Amino acid sequence: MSCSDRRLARAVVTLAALAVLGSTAACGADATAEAAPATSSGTPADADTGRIAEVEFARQCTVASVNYADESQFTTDLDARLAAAGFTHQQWKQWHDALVDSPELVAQFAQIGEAGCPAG
Amino acid sequence: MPLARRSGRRRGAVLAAAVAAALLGPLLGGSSASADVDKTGVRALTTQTAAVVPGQTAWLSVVWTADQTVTNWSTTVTAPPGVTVSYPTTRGGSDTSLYGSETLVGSTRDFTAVKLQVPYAQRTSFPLTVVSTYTSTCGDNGQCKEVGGGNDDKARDFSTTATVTVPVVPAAGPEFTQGTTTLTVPAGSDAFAQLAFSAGQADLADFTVRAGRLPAGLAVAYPGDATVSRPAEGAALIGRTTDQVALRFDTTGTAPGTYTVPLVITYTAATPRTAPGTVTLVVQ
Repeated sequence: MSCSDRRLARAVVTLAALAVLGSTAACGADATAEAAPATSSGTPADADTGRIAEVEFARQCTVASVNYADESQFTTDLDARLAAAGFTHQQWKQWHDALVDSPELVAQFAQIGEAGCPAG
Repeated sequence: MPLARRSGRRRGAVLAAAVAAALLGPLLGGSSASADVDKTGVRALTTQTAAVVPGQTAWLSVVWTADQTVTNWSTTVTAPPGVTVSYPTTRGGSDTSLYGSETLVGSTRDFTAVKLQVPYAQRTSFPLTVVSTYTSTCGDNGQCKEVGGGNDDKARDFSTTATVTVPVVPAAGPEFTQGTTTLTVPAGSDAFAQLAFSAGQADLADFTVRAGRLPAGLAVAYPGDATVSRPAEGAALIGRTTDQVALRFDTTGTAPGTYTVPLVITYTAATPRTAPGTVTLVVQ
């Protein structure tokens, strides 16, 4: 190995070490951020959120197979389903808005949908 | 050994470049190739919408899901010539978004809805090209942070295109029904009365109603001194909706009693049509 090759090798080793440190730091930062969902700081899942999720999943299973004359009928249909289950549109809205920062609610919704939509 | 030396220098340069890339990659957000890869898993679950009939105005929906949360959702739809696409006016009318919000949370579902006006000439199923754009704040390593961006703190805009089929089936049932069949008006009056009409499955363009041969002593007029009455909401009677037409009955020369008033109803479905009707007028 020539002198210039040794200098190059040292530079490579130095850069690689920095790269490893950089990656480690990045992983550390990510680990912190990614660990956040595990703390479940969002809305907790319970029986009520489960029933709302069931209503929503059932609606999502059928909404593409209906054809409405008026846009407002999407909400009319949702509200009828919610009322039948004992919930209001406002409760659904709160649940829906909470999904974005609640891993528990998302997991609950996903679990309800695991079986897929009913045939037909 | 010039060749070997050059080769050595080339090897060194390649190695240095690779290391530099490894170093700078995380700082600059990774290579453009990896940054451009859509790892959100956004996809349409709907391959076929609800069926429509020729001449129908219909709100149809497409259900979407994603593996990662995406925001700023926007969907536009392209339909074959003759099929008119329109969007909710609440967003300005140039696109639609998801029902619940502009965010599709990973591992959940939501749908987009658009309004189609299908011409009477459209008698076979047709495709819709559905393009959705959205923003991912998950990093290029596929990891998403709850707050801010992903591992590289970048927001990336992506789009997904889906093709869904809109089945077209023949219309069934009457083209319209008359909801108001009896009107009661005071003797010696001259006032407007409303008659309700409901369209069948398809839209009826240029819908008009006028009285036919009137009983002796009875006079009928129309809004704006026109020769016919039109629906209150517009010239067309939209499929599966009910609208009102107004007729002014002048009974100043009519004795109390029950009269049958013939109606002439015109509209354009696949072709211009004329249909008869009657309303029973009770003059008290």
